[in-house]
Formats: sequence, C-alpha cells, structure tokens
Amino acid sequence: MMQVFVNGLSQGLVLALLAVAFQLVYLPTRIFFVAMAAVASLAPYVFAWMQHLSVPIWAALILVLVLSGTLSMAMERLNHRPLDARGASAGAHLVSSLAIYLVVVQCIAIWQGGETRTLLSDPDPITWKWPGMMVMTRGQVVSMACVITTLCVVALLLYRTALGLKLRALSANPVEFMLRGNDVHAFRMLAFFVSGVLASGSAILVGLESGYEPHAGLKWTLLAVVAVILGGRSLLIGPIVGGILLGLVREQVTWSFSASLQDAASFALLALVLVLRPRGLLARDQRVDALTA
Amino acid sequence: MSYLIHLLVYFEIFALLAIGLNVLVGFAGMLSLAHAALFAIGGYAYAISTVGYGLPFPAAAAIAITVCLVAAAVVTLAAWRFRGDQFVLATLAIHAMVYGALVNWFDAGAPLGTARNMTNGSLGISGIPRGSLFWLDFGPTPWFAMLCSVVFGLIVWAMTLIARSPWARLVKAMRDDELVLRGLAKSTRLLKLQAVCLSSTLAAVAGVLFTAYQGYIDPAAASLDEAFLVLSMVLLGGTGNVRGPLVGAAVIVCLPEAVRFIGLPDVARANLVLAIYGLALVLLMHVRPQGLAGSYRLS
Repeated sequence: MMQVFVNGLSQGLVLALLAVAFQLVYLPTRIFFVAMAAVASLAPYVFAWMQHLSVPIWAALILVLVLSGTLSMAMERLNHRPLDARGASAGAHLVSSLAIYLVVVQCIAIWQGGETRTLLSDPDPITWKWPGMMVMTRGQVVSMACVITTLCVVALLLYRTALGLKLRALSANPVEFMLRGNDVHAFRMLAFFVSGVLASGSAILVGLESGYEPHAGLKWTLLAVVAVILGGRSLLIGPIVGGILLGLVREQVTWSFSASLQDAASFALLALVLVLRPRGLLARDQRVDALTA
Repeated sequence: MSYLIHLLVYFEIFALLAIGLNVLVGFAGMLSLAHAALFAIGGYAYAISTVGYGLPFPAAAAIAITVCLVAAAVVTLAAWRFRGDQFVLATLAIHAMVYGALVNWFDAGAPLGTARNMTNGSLGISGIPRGSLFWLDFGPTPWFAMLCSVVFGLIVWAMTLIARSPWARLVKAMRDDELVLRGLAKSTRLLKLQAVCLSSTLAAVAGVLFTAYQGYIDPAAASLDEAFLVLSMVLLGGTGNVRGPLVGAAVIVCLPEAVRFIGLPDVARANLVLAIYGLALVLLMHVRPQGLAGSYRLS
C-alpha cells in the first residue's frame, strides 16, 4: 500500500509540474498548448547531447531550461500571436500547435532515432528500504524534492510578487488587463517561457527515472491536460491536486490490474469528471457571467 | 500495374475515412479525435465476424457497421454534452479507452471473439479473408480494387447529394451558430446524432475495406498517430465540402511515394513525411485555414 502511494506520488508530482506548465499558458491565452509536448520531448535529448559534450550537469540543466523556455516563446511569437491577430479560433490554435509538435518530434526522430533511452548510464544502485513497507530509489527522492521545490518557487512567484499578480490578473481577465495599460504580449511571452522551463524540467526528471523517446512528450502532456481538468481551473492548486490524484490512480491500476490499462483508466477518469463535474474537483461554483468573462 | 492498383485502393479507403470525418469537422464543426477508434472498431468487428465466426462478407460488413453505430452512441453523448475543447478532450478519452480495450481484451487460452478474448490483444488478428459476394471472389487484388472503386464511387455520389441537401444546410447552420438554430426550434441533438451516425458508418466501411485488403488488423489502427493522420488528411485537403477530403487523401497517399525518390532510409523517410504534413498544416492554418480545397475555415 505504501509502495503504491510512494510510486504514485512520485509520478503524480511530475504530472503536477507539467499540469502547472500547461495551465500557465491555458488560463491567460485559452490556447491548448499541445506543442509543449515537443518542448518536453526535445529537452532530454538536448540534455543528453550536452552530457556527451562534457558540459557540467548544472550548466547543461540551466542551458536546457533556458533553451526550452526560448523555444516556447518562439512558438508563441511565430505561431499563436499571428493566429490571434487573424482572429483564429481555438481549434486553429490547437491544430497548429499539434502540427508544430509533429514537426519537432519527427525532426528529433530523424536526428536521434525512435528508440527509448535513459539519462542514467547505469541503474541507480542507491535505494532506501523500509522492510515490509516500501522501497524508494534515489531518482524518486530527487524527483520529488525537485518538483516540490519548483512548485514552491512558482507559488512564490505567482502569489508573492508583482509579476505573479499581473500574471494572475491576465489569467482572470485578459481584456481588462489590457485596458489597464498592461502589455499583454509581454506577459503572454513570460507565461510561455515559464511553461517551457517547467515542461523541460519535468521531462528531464522523467528521463532520469524511466527513460525518454520522441513520442513520450505527448503522452505526458495529455496526462497533464487530464490533471488540469481533474483539478480545476485554478492557476496552481487545481493542477497540483489533479496531477497527484492522477498519479495515485495510475499506480493503483498498475498494481491491481496491468500497466497497459493505465492510460485507459486515466482517460476514463477524465470522462467521469467531464460528465459529473466538468469544472474540476476543486472548482467553486461561480456566476455564469463570471465564467464567461 | 499492381502497384498502382495498390495505391488506388489505399487512396479510396483513406478518402472514405476522410469524408466520414469531414461530416463531423467540416459540416457539424466538431473536431473529433475518436474517428480512428471507430475505424478500428469497424475493422475489428469485420475481422472477428469472419475469422472468429466464419460469417460471409456481406453479413460481416453489416455487423461491422452496426457495431460502429452502437459505439458512435458514446460519441453522440459527448457531442450532446460538450463543445469546443471539452468535446475534443471527450473524444480523446473515448479514443484512449477504445485503444486500451483493443490492447487488453485478450486471453491466450480463449478462442477469438469470445468474452475473454475479443480482440487478441497486441498480437492482432491475421488471416482475414477478403470475402466474396454472389459469384464475385474478392481474393484477387484487381477484383477487390473493383469492389473498393464501386463502393467509393457510390459513397462519393451519395455524399455529393447529401452535401447539397437541406439536411446539410441545417448541419452547417448548427456549426455556425447552434444557439440560433435552437431558437428556431430545430433539434440540434438530432442533427448531431445523425452527423455522428453518418460519420461512423463511413468509418466502419473504410475499416472493413482496409481490414479485408490487409488481411490483418492490430491495435495500431486505433493509435493516436492514426487519429492525427486522419485529422491531418481532412484539415490539409479542406473541410466543408466533398472534394477537400479527396485532395487530403491524395496528398496522404502520394506524398510518401514522392519522398521515396529522395533516397533516405525507410524509417527516416516516414519521419520526413510526417514532418512535411506538420509543416503543411501549420502553414495552412496561417495562410489558408479552409485547407487546400475546402470551403469552411476552422474559425
């Protein structure tokens, strides 16, 4: 039981980080940033390539995070902003985002091939054992610690800084935010940058623990979307709770039935939430005019 | 010559699939990711009927269409309940559950088509016959190609008539402004049901032809890549009319053949083709959102 909880928590926290990354773009822009999956797919490959060039780990990590954030910003500047200027629908944004994902992932596959790889050359030999209860690998502990730290930093940024206040204002009402003289484009770029950084960070954590391959980014991004729907429309707490819950459910399904049923169970949970509580588990009842604002 | 016949068969099958999805995307304005799942359900139903129960071609095809229509009821419920992004997510959930069922509904100790082993899991179903109708045996490829061409011709003709019908105008009106249509006392639920049924019937027909032609089917027919490929076909070629999906299917079939002459390894060639689809889609969304030959802009 404890083992299931620990494994689920480890997976769920990574999902939570990715869900926050998705939500950071979705709330201010209402764009289904599927291309975030491309950023998540690319990050471990670039990280591994820098390892191959003997770049120190800390420098490689910073470079990958910055490059990923920059790539996200480029997607906003070159794709989504021109579509917005043309008055394109959410469907057009979704399709173009998906198409960008296709292009990037296929380029990765041509560059590096499609086989699954790991960022660790050897299995992690250091484990913590609580006899009769659970086993934790170093990778799991590092992953959980990194995610919790990152989420705390993001929470501080969003709720204790003027920058975060403006980002939340943009998420709440983009039109009024613009009418008050704020630069909507600059804050959208910031949202995309932070989203790219968080997505690449979570992808590297997944790569360290369970490996990476070109199509892994989309699977994790779609699960992040499920987590966002599960948790609700808040900027931070909804995706976190949704991610952790989803991780626990997936791990329980693996233990009780089969690992191949994880995805079906995740989307069955999504269907259930969409039918019973479409605003999410943590969403509060709101006036209709507040919802449509 | 046989190679050209092979290309023609694939073009006709993919065109039927694209025309089916176009009914949902282009006519009804519902972006669906469950179409590949319906295609696979049709193919599996045909495979199980023929291999598992030895049914003849007409009966197996009818069963496949019926099973697809029943499965489409789930998509209909999603269409009634959700709109926009939520509908896309709901169809993605349906797709994931269908794929999970196709992969996991398997027991090595049970015969195919039984409650314990309906789909044969990741192994797929092989030895699927092409079937026959009266004195016509569709085993030889030219005869099967003729069957495909007749079915394709009939369906394109029927869809051309449907596209000009009052029903199509109602569905397009629903796409443009559902609220106004409901205010005019039109039943949008019934329209959505009809659109989904038509779409799933075409998906089932395409699934039957594809499975019969290949002689084999596995869960990859319902993978997310296939769902994106079908959607790309429709969006590339164009939505809102009958010729758009035909153009999209032609691009999907012909582009890999054109890339063949570049001289890349097989795997890299497949990746390059998909990258070109993606690039074309991005450019189209910016320059021509209605697709190469469509009439409805995705907006």
